[in-house]
Amino acid sequence: MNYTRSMRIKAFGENMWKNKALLLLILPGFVLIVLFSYIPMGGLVLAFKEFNYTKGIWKSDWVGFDNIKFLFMSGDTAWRMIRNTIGYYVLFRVVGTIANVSLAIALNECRHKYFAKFSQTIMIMPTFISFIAISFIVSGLLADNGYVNNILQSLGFEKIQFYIEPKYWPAILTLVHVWKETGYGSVIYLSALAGMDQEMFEAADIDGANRWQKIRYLTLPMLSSTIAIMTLLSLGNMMHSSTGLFYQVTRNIGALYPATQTLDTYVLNALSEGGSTFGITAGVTFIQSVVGCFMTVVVNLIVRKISPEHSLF
Amino acid sequence: MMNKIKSNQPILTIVLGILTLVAVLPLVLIVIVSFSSTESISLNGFTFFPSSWSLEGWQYVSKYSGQIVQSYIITIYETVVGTILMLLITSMFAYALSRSNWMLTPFLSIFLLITMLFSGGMVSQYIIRTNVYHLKDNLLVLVIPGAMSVYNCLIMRTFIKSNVPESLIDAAKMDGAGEMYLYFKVILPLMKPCLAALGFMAAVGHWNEWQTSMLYISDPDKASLQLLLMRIENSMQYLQNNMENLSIAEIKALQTAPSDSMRMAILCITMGPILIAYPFFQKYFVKGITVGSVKG
Repeated sequence: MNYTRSMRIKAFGENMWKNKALLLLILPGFVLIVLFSYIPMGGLVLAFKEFNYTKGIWKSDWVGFDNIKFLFMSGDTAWRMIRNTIGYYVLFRVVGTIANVSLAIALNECRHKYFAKFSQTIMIMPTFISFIAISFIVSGLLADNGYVNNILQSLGFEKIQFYIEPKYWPAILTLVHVWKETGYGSVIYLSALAGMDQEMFEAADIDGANRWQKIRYLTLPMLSSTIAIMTLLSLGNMMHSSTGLFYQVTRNIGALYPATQTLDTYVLNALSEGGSTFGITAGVTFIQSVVGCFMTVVVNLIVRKISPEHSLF
Repeated sequence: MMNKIKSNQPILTIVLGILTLVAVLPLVLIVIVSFSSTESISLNGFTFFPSSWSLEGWQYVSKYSGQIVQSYIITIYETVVGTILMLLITSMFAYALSRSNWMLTPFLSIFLLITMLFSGGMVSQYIIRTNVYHLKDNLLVLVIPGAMSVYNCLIMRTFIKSNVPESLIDAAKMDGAGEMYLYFKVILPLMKPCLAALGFMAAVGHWNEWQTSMLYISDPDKASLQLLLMRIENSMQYLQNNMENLSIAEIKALQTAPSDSMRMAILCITMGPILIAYPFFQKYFVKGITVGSVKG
């Protein structure tokens, strides 16, 4: 036993020495991960402390679950944020996936290949525009003298004060999300379509299937595994939302919070205002981390069952 | 049957054409507004057909050119340095990780996996970066934390494993190539399509980045373009909300300043480079995304 263990240690040492150049190659990345991923994980203890600037994270006093209790006891903000975060996640997943798959099928069916390529090029463009720019565009469209209100007025309707009324924002944010992400999001489905077996379609042609039947009975079932994998892999980010969309595009306007405040924008807001409530805010990030970890592990167990090559571990 | 297929095509083409227009029209609107005259904007709001054109907005931008050039330099620094560091440090890690006969590989895989499962969250990141590492107002904070990307590392590792045969590495070693020589002269050139796709995405990410700047950079001389845009927006809102506190001259200046066309002109300057560079990188995306099947 001891003999084999020392042998193993020796073999390991030899392997390390032989590949010492590899150690040098991983060194910078290794140090960065420790500094910017592992050490901040330790900082999560802040969720159970009352943060005091002069004492620092490690020496601040423990308060147990007080921060998280306070979060849920003080009004319905916490529930509202959680509802918004998960609600928008589901909404964007459903609408986004339908848009991505439809666009991919449409581009694939288009016989004018150059036109399809051109329109794909244009439709990917919004992906590369920053949310600051998009918030300018959206306010240009929705402001008091914006494009939409001009049209409403010329048609004889009342102007709508979009930046005061929360009820319009689920639709607005979904539209902006679809506008920005669909071109790029369809690429992965398009490449799945390109890899499909063409013989099946030829056989379907011979059997007299029409276009819709082929889409319904061949294309969609073939895409279903890609759709399932993409959906499952996104579940780990369920508690996160794009701060660009929910903080910038909504201009962080308080009147809209009922429909737009998510966990991430709450944290970002607290940080940029630099208040003294770091403990409570850390409580929010703690909940995000725990739920995210749980979802990733569960999802991975499922993915490993249905499609081992896509699993994370 | 052929007839049926043909008869569907025009409708499909028209639908795709409309969607393409929807995708691009907001961008066109920005360019048009940047060239619209102030009277036209205050009279008709944002419109595709302004009653009169003018260069006011762009002239106003040139007044601020000092600040804009400064911000451009910061953004270019962040994009270039951040992207190169990420590609170098991440691909070095990925190459070492791809070597199957290295005994540290299983340990490193778990080391990377944990960071994907669990994160410290924004608050503790913020406090540790400012309180412990003192990165507030330090330009390194824009490029260093993103220099090692775990997700990209796994993509690169998969790419190396499926595109660089182990026998090639063995043969090069037989000829006396050291690991460093192997990495720089054999692996990096072979990784070109993968590096182009991930590099472009990283560059776009850096170019559009605002959150890190907003949280960590308060010195106006270190503001990136996106942060500058945010600042202009906020200060205009501030001025408009506090009209009663301003002197008459200031109100007059505010009313005559081509604020909308100027903002849109700055926006054009900010978005331009990416939209121009992007078509050249497009061919790498499909590859970049499809090699993205992450597996540990």
